[in-house]
Formats: sequence, C-alpha cells, structure tokens
Amino acid sequence: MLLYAVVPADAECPTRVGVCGGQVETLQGAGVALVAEECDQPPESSRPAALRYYEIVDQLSRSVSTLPVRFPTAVRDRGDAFRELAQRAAQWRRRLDELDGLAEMVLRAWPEHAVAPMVDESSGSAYLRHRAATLHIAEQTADQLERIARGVCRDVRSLPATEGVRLACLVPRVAESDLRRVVDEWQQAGPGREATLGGPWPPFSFVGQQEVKDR
Amino acid sequence: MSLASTSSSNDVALVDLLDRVIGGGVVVAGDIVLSIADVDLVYLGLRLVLAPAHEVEDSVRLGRRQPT
Repeated sequence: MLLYAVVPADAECPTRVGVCGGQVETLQGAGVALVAEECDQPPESSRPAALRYYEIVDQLSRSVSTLPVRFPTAVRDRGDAFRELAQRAAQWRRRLDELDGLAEMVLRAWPEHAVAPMVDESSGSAYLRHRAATLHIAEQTADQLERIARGVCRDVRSLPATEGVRLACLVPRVAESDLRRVVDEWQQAGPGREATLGGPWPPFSFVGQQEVKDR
Repeated sequence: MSLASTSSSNDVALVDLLDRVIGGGVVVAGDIVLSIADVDLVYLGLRLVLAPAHEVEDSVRLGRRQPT
C-alpha cells in the first residue's frame, strides 16, 4: 500500500483516485488514520506522480492537521499498515495536535548576488577575497533571515542548499502574509537582497523520523 | 499557493516542493520494504528524475539575471 499521510481519526478524506489509479482510503487507528492506496506495483518514479501525490496530501492538509508521508513510502499490505498505526498512533496523535493550523514555507535567498563581481578573474588573491566576501554575506544573510522568520514562525530549520540560503519555516496558516511581509521588508532594506518564499505546503520538513523517535 | 500557480510561476518553489515531497515527511517501515530494491538508489534515482536541482537552479538564476 502506498501511504500518503497521517490524519486525525475523525477527518473526512475526499474520495479520490490515487497515484496508482486506485481509490485513496483511510485506515482507522486509535485517534489517527492512515491515508493510503492499494498499489499492485510501486508508484511510477516521475515528476507527475510526485506532484499528484503532493496534490492529494496538500488537499488534506488544507482541511485537517496532516502529517505528510515521504513519497514514495509503501508497506507490504494492509496488515503492515495497521501494525504501523498501532505502534505509532500515540506519537502521531501528539504531533498532529502540535502541527494543527501550521504549514511549511521555504525561504530561499541568493546572498552571493549582493557581492560585487571579481575585477581580475586571473588573480588568486582576488579570488580568495571574493570567496571570503561571498561566505561572509551568506552567513550574515542566513542569520538575518532566520531571525526575521523566527519572529513569525513556530520553528525554522536550515535545509541543504547547493547555493545560497534555504530555510524551512513552520508558520501558522493565518500568519502566511506576515511572513511574506517581513521577507519583503528585508528585501527592500538593502541592495542585492533577493529572496523567494515557496508554499504554504504540508509540513514535510517537520515530521521526520528523528522527531518521532525523540518523543 | 495552488499547485497550478506553483508550477507556472515559480520554478524555484517547484524544486523546493519536490525536494520536500521526496526528502521530507514521515518515515515508516515502508522504507524497509523499498530497501529490498535498494532504497538509496531508489531515492537517488528519484532525485535525479524529479528534481535535477543544479540544472533547474542554474536556469532559473540565469533567467533572473536576464533583463525582461
């Protein structure tokens, strides 16, 4: 079975066709339910399949507290799904309560755009100076953005980035516009400041394995 | 933000979204099932197929620098 999300047991889940073409259903546990779909084969590893999966989870998260499951997580059969439910129901229930009304937004910035280009690209010392300036402004930007995000968000986590700064923000859905406003203000406060906000999405970055284990 | 507006207006957000869908979320024993088929390769493959981050980020960055 392909797993989509954990939701409160009393949540109404829309009847939908899932990624595998089957019916998405809820498996009831003690206080929580698993949203899942019977799949004969593992789901297709494609961008459309991942987006379809996201659509289903996102729709759920707009109406009820939702713990999204990482795509593509599958259990062998219905029995395994119920065993997971039985083992983790209390942890999941607690986390659902904690995340009620919250969504994830991802804040990106490209601080290196604020650094002046190298004048002499053949000079080793010029390269080192440029590199030091880039690292300095990246650290400064990360600190600034984390500080302003923490003023609005319940939690902020740094995400791996191939370039620039990337922060996952756990924001109350009612405060989404506040986060957009403080990010806009930050951009307008100085030259070369570029940032984007993605979301709101289900809180994928705040329901990881470690978090569940630690509780 | 709706899925439609995400995909049409902001490639960076789409990359982040896909990265979260396959890199975040609750992890359960289902991953063990996938590991029979070599889960690391499954996820590596997915990342390559779904979110060629370097390519997308580069193209977006270049696009941002071009005058409109």
